[in-house]
Amino acid sequence: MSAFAVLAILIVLLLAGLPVAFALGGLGAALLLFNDVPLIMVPQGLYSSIDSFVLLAVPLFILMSNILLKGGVGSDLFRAVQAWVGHWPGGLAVATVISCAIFGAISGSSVATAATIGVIAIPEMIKRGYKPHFVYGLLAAGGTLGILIPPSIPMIVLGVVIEESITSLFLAGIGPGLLMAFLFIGFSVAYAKLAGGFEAQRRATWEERRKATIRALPTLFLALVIILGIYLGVFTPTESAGIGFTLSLLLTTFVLRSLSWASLKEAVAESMRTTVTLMLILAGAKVFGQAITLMRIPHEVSTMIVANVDTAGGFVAIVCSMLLVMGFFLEALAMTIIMAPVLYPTLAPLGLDPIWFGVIFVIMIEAALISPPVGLNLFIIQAIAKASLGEVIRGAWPFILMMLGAIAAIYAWPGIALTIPFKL
Amino acid sequence: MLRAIDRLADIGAGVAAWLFVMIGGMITFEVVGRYGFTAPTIWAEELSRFCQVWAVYLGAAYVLRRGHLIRITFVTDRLGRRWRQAAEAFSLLAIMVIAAIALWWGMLITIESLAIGRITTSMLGTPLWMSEIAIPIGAALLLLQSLALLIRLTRGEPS
Repeated sequence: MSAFAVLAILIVLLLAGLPVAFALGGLGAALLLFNDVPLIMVPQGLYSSIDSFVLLAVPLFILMSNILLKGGVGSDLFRAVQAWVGHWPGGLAVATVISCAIFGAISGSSVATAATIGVIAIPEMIKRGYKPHFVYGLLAAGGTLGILIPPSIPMIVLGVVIEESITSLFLAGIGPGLLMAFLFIGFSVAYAKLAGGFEAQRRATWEERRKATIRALPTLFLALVIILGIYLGVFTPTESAGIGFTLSLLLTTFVLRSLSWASLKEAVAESMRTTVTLMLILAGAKVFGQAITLMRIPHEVSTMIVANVDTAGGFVAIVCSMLLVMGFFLEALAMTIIMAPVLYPTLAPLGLDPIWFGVIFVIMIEAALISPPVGLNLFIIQAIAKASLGEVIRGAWPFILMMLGAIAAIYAWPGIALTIPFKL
Repeated sequence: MLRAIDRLADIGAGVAAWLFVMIGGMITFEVVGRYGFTAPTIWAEELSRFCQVWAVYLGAAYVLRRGHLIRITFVTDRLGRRWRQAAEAFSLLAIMVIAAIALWWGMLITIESLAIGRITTSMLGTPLWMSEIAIPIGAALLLLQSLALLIRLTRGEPS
């Protein structure tokens, strides 16, 4: 059976509403059966996919994000940044982007980042007269900085799926993450100057700045421990997640005293849901991956791509348009888990760097997270702001264009991504 | 009876949630032990991985019932009530088949590990059946839960 037939069946199963984890696992099991492979490979795949030290970073980073979210560190952070840049044109929007970037250095999840900062930034900006659709789009897009700036759950998943160093992927995300933050800041300032209509903020006094910054220091310290710990090679990603989890717990219970027992229980229960949901997809994908590898489908696909696309630029353009279209109907992580193993064998013959391509892949995931109708960040912002989905979408599309622009820049200057992991 | 199945899934999920917290504790203990007291453990990594396998499969039935599993709904949302129910029934049946496969062959693996005394190749040498049995147990919970959901669907009860 050819790659196309398998893909067609998978799409039909997914569109019929079968959960992604079971569509992958079930189709994988059926393919094993048709190829006379003993089904004992199914539980073996389910076991080995989850029995992984690297993957332990996923539940721990999710726990940490949720604890910090419930502990309300978003508002402390936002207030501190606001005290420094609030009086700029579009100052609140700039403060939002910077807060998202800093929180992105603690959180590996775009939804958690959008929610943590959004809860405080959205009402504040609306109150000051910013156009709602701009505010929603900014928060939905700002949240995606959470997965480009390390740590990043999609990068952990990608690293596991393609068997590349997660530390290198993390470090390669820093440059592009900063680039994207600058693009968003530039857009915010330009938008504020052109559209106007908002109420400017007065410059904060030094006393106000000092107070606000002290309150945010523990959060900044946490971000620094995680980034430097990974950068200097003190921790593996899993260890930094464990330390980050414990520190966030100590921080919110003893230092800030902002986490109650009830909200801790909520954070723990929510983390379990997110983790189990994600891990089941990985487990299903493992069974599916075993089956298609036995049938040599990734090889077949890569041969076909190489025969038809001979330039690296053409390949990147095709992959990005494909991911953009898929992002319209497939949830972002599911898209990664399905597409990455099929696309990665093509990189070597085309002479493309897997880490560099990984960063481009993650930016495409960001675009998928804010593109309708299934972009998770759109829903989270809609829920927080009690806005209409249409308004959130209207605000989000300029950011998709900026993301594609960032990809073009990283294509032209690979050093944006690769300097930090490999040259410094 | 159906309530009892829900209750079982809830218990599994509760255990799963705190297993993840335990993993956080173990990893932290390991890092602190290594850097603070140059005393790395031989158990933290292995037990953490075991806890993760248990947690994921114990939580599966619960996330299914609560509708947290990621699925594409924009086609099924546009279908009429009968077609949507048919799609739902198809999903549940497919999940039952997959759970049954994981249950049966997962059990065979566990029984074999038990019979020949397979252990992990680490210094800890944990018997493998202790973590492998998480797959058939989780699959059994999932099978029961999807059966319960299917029964409710045919009776027209909300899940």
